[in-house]
Amino acid sequence: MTYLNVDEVETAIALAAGPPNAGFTELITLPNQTWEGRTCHAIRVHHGAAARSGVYLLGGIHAREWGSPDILVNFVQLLTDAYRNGTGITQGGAAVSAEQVRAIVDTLDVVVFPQANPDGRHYSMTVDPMWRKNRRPADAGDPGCPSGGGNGPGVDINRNYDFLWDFPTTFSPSAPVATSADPCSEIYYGPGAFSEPETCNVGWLLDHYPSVGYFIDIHSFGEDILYNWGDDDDQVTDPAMNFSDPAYDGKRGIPDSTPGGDPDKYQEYIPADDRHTLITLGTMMRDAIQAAHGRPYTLKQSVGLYPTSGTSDDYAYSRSFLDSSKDTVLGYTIEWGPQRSSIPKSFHPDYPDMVPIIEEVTAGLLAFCLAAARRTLDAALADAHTNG
Amino acid sequence: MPNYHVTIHGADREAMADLVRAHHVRVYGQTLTEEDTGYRVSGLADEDTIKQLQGAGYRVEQHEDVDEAAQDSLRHVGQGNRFLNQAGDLR
Repeated sequence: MTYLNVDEVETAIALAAGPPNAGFTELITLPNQTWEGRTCHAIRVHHGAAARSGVYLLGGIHAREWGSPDILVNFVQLLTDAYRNGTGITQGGAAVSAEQVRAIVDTLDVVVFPQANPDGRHYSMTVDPMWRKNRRPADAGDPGCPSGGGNGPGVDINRNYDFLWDFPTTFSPSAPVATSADPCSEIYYGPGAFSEPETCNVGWLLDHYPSVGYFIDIHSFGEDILYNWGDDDDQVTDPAMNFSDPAYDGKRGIPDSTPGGDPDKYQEYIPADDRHTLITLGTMMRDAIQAAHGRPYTLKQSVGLYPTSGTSDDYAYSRSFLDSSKDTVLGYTIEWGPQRSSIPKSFHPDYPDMVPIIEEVTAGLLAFCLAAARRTLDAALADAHTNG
Repeated sequence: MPNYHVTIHGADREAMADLVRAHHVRVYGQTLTEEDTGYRVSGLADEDTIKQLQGAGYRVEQHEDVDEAAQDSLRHVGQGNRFLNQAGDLR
């Protein structure tokens, strides 16, 4: 067996939304063609009346992390097959029953966008396996970039979202931000927030599926499950200290664990209930991953010594802070797979080594969806009780 | 110029932060690990950058040429389209 190439991912998703599953799936055509003219597709899995909540699973943002689309194709194939046939799903030592599969599909919109950066994936799978970014060509006047090692023109899509995108302004000049304004860097943030068609497609799904309350972006490597925020330490006491206030520009991105502490004492506000839910559901995902093949993933806040700007999970979560008409979307990033002695094989292990990872992450995503469905059903019951 | 997988050892977190702030090295933050004598992190660097870091007091272990090593992975990519027979059902 081998990794799915770009065409195979698209065909697999089209098949999953095909006639046998047409009653409970929707094939979604994304509106923005990539730089190389590719059209992307996502799939929504749901049966019955309008869903009260949804989970949005994203993969393939970073080109060299080949396993992420394969994980999401496996997830979609297993979920749709099991729902259609009335069976459960087993992945290693983790399992969900037929009744639980039904609860997921009957309760949630499960929106899956498995291959958001097909140009980059194709380039990585045929020319430069260390390629990370999209394939935006160099702009006139850009410096010539050195080749190899993932260097070259292009934008890191996961630095291009409209969340503290303008890091030279919004972060402290002393912050060791893992974002770059150098067009040749593999973490280049692009000429503007949402400048890239791939980034716009990810955002378009959030706009068009307002049921979505949970967002998970699949990456490698590190065996981590990360939750909001990624720019600075979380705090639950001061709502006014947050990313949207320009008064804090120049003060973000120095976590308290930085030597000497944070001179500006900036921390990012997160409501205590949201943080509790992030940890509760993240723990269920982590435990299911471990049940599959025994791998102990770590659940933690996204920020570390090297804070981030313009990332998908923080953008998804930030939207409801800026527009009260939008519902909260809790954000996660999964970094699947361990570090290996070879860096390239940490990003894309030999396929036989990828198989158990596909299974364990699929198990984690199923457990997460089940927990989200139960939470939704509990809320509906509470509403019904309140309304008499 | 080849790009190498490197393990960079620094005395303290300040030194590890400077890898990004001052030396603009591409590090993989998730690999940051505390060890007996400081910290280590994995990253990518060419020979000039390795020399620059060593001159600045870091200990740098040089591993594989990542471009050369990565080529081996291409044999694990699917060729053609394994779903084409089933895709006939879509038409």
